[in-house]
Amino acid sequence: MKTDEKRVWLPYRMTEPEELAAYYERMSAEGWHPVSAGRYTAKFRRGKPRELRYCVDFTDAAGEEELQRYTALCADAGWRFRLKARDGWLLFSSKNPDAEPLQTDPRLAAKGFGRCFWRNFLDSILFFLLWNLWIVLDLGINRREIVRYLSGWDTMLELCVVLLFFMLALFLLGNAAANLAGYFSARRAMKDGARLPEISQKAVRRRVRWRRALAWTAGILLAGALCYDIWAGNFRPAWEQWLSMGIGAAGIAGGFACKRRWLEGLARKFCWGAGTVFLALGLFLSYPLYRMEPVPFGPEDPVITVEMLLPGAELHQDEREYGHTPLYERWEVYQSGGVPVSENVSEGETVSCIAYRAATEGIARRLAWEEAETFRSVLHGTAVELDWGIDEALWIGDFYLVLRDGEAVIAYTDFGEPEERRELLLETLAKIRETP
Amino acid sequence: MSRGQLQNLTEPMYYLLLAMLKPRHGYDAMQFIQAATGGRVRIGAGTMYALLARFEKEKILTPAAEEGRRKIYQLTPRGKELLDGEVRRLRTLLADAERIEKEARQDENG
Repeated sequence: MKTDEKRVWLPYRMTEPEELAAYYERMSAEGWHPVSAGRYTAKFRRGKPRELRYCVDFTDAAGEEELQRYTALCADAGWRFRLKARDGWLLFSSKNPDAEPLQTDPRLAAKGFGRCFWRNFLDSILFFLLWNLWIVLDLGINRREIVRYLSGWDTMLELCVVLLFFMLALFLLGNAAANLAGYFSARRAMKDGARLPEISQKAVRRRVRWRRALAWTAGILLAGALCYDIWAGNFRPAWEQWLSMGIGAAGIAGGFACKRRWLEGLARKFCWGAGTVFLALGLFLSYPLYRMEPVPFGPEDPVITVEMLLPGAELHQDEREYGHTPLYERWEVYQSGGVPVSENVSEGETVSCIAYRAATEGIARRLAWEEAETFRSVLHGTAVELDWGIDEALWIGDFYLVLRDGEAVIAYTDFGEPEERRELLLETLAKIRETP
Repeated sequence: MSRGQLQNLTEPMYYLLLAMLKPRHGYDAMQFIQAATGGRVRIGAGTMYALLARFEKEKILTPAAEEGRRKIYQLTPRGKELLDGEVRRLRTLLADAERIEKEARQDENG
């Protein structure tokens, strides 16, 4: 059965307006008429094949009212307004093959094009910067020695997601660079009133393939990241978050139902804006570590106290609360026998054991991970082995990192021979864990 | 279009100011210019809109009335001054050309 509408990948950029217009002319001749255009895709509706002339236009007309005035002027001149693309360019069509072009002053045309392009480009750059800021700051990729972390499949999965996100960001940067090059080339040609450079069909096909790959990768990554977070216990929406996400989804769906003419499109924009805020808020707050969800320790939970310390050891105790409810507790037994003689060399030995008791497994996992990151940044060149069972923990370098039953334990020594410290560390850990 | 460019009007700008000696909307001005120049000067709708917006911003034109979605513009005193200045400049150019041409012819004739 033939469908009446289809969405396709747009093969041309806004920096190729002549090619874009010619593409719409070809589609109309085949009976596909434009409905809408996003940044990378366009929607067409089936109709009678028509020989129409199309024009991609860049205007300064801002706001709904000004746009209506502008399109009315264009309509008087024989150009019918078809759509406003996500990138800001306008599409007009004319039945008259000899209709006067919309832009007759190359300098003014180049200026309008420049303004439209830069608005979009700055949007993209801002998005790219925020994306990378999130990767660098939140996931701590700047502090990580990646290869040595690939010891557990779950850790590897998380890292792959992070790295692929990073690659996706690089792709966006490449795309922005290509747009920039296209812009300068197009603007130069516009100013001179010359034809814009032509794009080969091979390049167009390659571009469409890349865009498709980009979309699939982004979708898979997002779904993978969410699945991982659900599995790891990081994503745990409470009823408030479900409510927020529900309102958000309803708002976005409501935006599609709103007619464009209602309050000159403001109703639709409001629904989409508010819906996005609610949805994002719900998603964001569904991560317990960020929102510090108050999960109280029950009376049946054992209270860990350290009654006996090893000779010369110090005890540091720390706890984090949210709304007077413990989120996690942390103990560190620190035995320092080392005397630093330079920045990197110490004589003697220093032994430390850290124990966490977290309210949820997700929090514990995250704490263990962040703790390892912290020590790694202090001790360069340290090998790390991840293992989620203390009995199976392998001694690789100076770290132990273990997690069991919602409790994360990290043990490490930063001086001395690892094998010599093994017994001492296990003994200390056992004391912390077994103390009633 | 910088402020400096308005010191010397382009051909479409000049004819637009002439068209606006009588209140008109954009499309009316486009038709007027095409007819007045015998089709030599044609202004596209996009260019016309940009020029009108710019002139309105520079207070050279002002909206006089509205007919549906069409805005009818008229020249402001500043616009009239600009047009008069341009006409004077063109007259001077023409007078200079005629005088120099005449002198050259007289030199040729001895």
